[in-house]
Amino acid sequence: MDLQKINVKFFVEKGDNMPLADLIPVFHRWIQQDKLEGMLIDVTEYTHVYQGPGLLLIAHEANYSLDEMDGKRGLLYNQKRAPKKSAEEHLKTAFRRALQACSLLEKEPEVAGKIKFAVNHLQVFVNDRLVAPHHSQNYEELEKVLKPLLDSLYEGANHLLIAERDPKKRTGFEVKVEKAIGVEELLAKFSN
Amino acid sequence: MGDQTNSWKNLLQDSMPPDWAKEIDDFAAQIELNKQGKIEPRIFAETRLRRGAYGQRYDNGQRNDGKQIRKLNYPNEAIWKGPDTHWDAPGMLRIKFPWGGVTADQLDTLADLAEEYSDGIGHITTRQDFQLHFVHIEDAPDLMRRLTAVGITTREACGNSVRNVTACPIAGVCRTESFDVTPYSKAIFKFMLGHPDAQDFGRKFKIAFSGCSGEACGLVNMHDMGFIAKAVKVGGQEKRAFDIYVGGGLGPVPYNAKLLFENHPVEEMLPVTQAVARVYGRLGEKKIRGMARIKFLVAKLGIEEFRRLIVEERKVLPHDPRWTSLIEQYLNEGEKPAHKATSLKASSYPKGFLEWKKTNAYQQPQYGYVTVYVKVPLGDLTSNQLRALAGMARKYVKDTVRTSVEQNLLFRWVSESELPAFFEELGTIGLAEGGANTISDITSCPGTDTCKLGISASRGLARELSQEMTAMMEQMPEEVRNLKIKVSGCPNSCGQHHISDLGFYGVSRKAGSYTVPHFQLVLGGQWKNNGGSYGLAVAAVPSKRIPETIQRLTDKYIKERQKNESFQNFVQRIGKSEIRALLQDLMVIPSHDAEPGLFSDWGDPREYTIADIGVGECAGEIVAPSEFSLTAAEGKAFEAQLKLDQNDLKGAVDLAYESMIFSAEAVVRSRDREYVGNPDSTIGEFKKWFFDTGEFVKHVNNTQFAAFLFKAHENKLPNPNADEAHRRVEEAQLFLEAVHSYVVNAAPQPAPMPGK
Repeated sequence: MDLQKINVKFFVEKGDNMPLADLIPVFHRWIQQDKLEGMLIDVTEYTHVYQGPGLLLIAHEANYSLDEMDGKRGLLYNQKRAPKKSAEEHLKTAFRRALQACSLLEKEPEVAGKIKFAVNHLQVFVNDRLVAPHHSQNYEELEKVLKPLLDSLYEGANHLLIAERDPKKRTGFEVKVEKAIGVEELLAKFSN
Repeated sequence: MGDQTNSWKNLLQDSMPPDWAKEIDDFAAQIELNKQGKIEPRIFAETRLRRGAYGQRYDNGQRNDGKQIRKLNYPNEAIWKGPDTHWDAPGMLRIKFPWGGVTADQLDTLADLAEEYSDGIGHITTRQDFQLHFVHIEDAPDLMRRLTAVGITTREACGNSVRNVTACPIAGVCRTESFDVTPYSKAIFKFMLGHPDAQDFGRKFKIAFSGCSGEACGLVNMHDMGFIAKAVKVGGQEKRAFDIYVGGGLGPVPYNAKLLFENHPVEEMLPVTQAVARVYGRLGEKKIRGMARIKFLVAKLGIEEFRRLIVEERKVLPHDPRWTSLIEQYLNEGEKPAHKATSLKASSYPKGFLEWKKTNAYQQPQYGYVTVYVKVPLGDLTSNQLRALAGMARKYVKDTVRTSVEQNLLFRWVSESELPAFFEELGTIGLAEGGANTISDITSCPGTDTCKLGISASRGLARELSQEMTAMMEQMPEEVRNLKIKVSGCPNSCGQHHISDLGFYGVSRKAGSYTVPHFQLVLGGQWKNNGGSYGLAVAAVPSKRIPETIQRLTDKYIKERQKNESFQNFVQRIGKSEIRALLQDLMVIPSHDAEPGLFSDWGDPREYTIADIGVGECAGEIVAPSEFSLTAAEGKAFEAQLKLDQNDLKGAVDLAYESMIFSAEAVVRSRDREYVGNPDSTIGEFKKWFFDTGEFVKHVNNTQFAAFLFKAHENKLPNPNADEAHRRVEEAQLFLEAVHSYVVNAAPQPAPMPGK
């Protein structure tokens, strides 16, 4: 399974109504200070569209955004052109980088205390309809890669995988984990 | 998921027309060759442009991050997709939708492509295209294949070719049209696509169709070639004909199109177009890009001579059966409604419905049907919205959806009784906002968001204005509500600022060691009558003060307008001097400390230029002699506009020339502070030190502006006509803007303050 175009989105627990424009200076500063891995390019604002990509930090390998798709705000890591890796490594990288962005964001002075991520509630999908069209075999394959990572990160806590049912949308799962855990704690698992 | 041999090429091979599929394969091969260094970057650039793949901002590998210019380390540094254009830099793909027609399947495909290759947004342009941004060039072939499979080609969406053929979006359902121009626009698109006579142009060529002359419709007046439908009596019988126009265009210097043929039979549409293409290809400018549009050729030859050439060319054209067969074919492909005609009868309606209906529903002449304007903020649709709209198209109207040049979507043939349900469904995807075609429905080009040429944040301004206008709509008098606002990020006019009531284009101004984003206010333009007249620049105002500018102008209009006086007439009556006086204080730039927000643009906290806040802390700022010259140039340019308003054409031309000389003097004085001279010596110095050396062009990225100066010096237009005078005044303003750019770009940037 080629997960080059894997996407991971951690939903917010707090900050659903915070104006996204408040984060524009933050994203620009991240570019100035090379706060994230990979080559960061620019910031693009879509606050005028309904339930859209919100605010994007455009980068070469992967975009980061405060995404509002389907009316659910979250930090989306959208991998586009990463070096070749195994599916497991792609997935792990996507989780780690998304969590790093969540962690940074929660600490930024402009929004500190105003935004918090529920990192036990997320979405994982493959942004490539050629590689991952909707059919059961693909869901099984994705689950096969995803489950071990979830088990390892959330220490075997029960989790619910809800498959995307709309055939026009991308193959993926909404994930709900029965374990309350903070961004930092989860991120720390990657350094172990 | 594991099938790695899978490819879109294989998957879609039976869905693509073989010739279109082959073209994409050829393009994919050129991509590979380019990667191997076997194609010159400038050749590859034209190749990709002809396939709709544009460059985008920051593709030269550097970006000002607000503190410093940073190098963007794109991975494949040795590969270029054009001169100074990095291979891995994100680019834009323009997708042609001839006559703005879009089907449900195409909307679905756009949604998928926006998600997989772009940033999740499909953007409607001011020429009825869609654009996807942040696309990698290596994704382009697959993207094109998926489009081709639903009947879309990106071929000739850019480059020196026949661009998207636009048409009135309510053609066929319009109450004032002579006849439906849709079949004719389809025929011309099909005929000219890849036509051998349209492959050797010096610049792009844009065609538009209108069903009548009085409405805005296809904006024929601003197109390279345009057709206005007419019904004429021939031998007692009503026949279809076109008034055919050529040589119009916006861009930095707008030209009004000239009438080439009046009441011309529709059957002659394609051969005349072919003859125009041949003459333009043969005689149009090829070397100086800035002078290569057909408008310059028509102006140079005069419309009579141009007409003579077309008539001669038409006589020698070998007959092509498609001249008539294509028209016949498309005339037989009429549009049919999905549902029966019904009338709107209900005892109650959804909340907001009746207000929305006033502005967003157009009563068709066909009983029981309306056309719905879906107001699309800044022309941006999310992938989810695109999919939902595709579903609504299938449910309510079949494939009768069109894009508009005002960046909206139109659903034609909605059965009236279904209108409330349609409205409610739009509400579920956030698109039930009223105010289509009003002051809150603002058109904007991409500007500094993604365009390489953008000077100011046109979308940022449009977003702000749209929110403010929407909030104020209820309190606004009808006359203000119906005004149009259009914004371009630079003088190139992609936002069509010349033909709106309140037009704006991005410029910059130097203030001490800082550069301040501004918009030039353009007043007097006309939207109706196919973009009937062009406005003129009145005053450059800092970007952040544009909302206040609009407020003052509209307040004054409401207070002082005469009975039934249009905004355009009001502006004409009170004159630009009074308007400028009204805005004078807004044009003054305070110190950075007093109003730091003025030194960044809308939606972008980066300081517009790197600043040294140490400057200005001493006793006073030193004013360079060149700044005195620039001030004088501004004054003369403005006086020239006043003369133009007074119909003193010669006075306008003379003052425009004086403005250009002062502008050139400002440049000369940037090298020699003590310089004093006459026009001849100023031109000589400018040419010797700044033009011949390439210094000026290097900093303003355009040869056209200096050409304006030289042309004005050589030909002082002793007896100008209105067009010539209008153009000369525009050229003086543009040369002045170019000199401002030169001053900004050529001046050494101060070092950033530590820690800033």
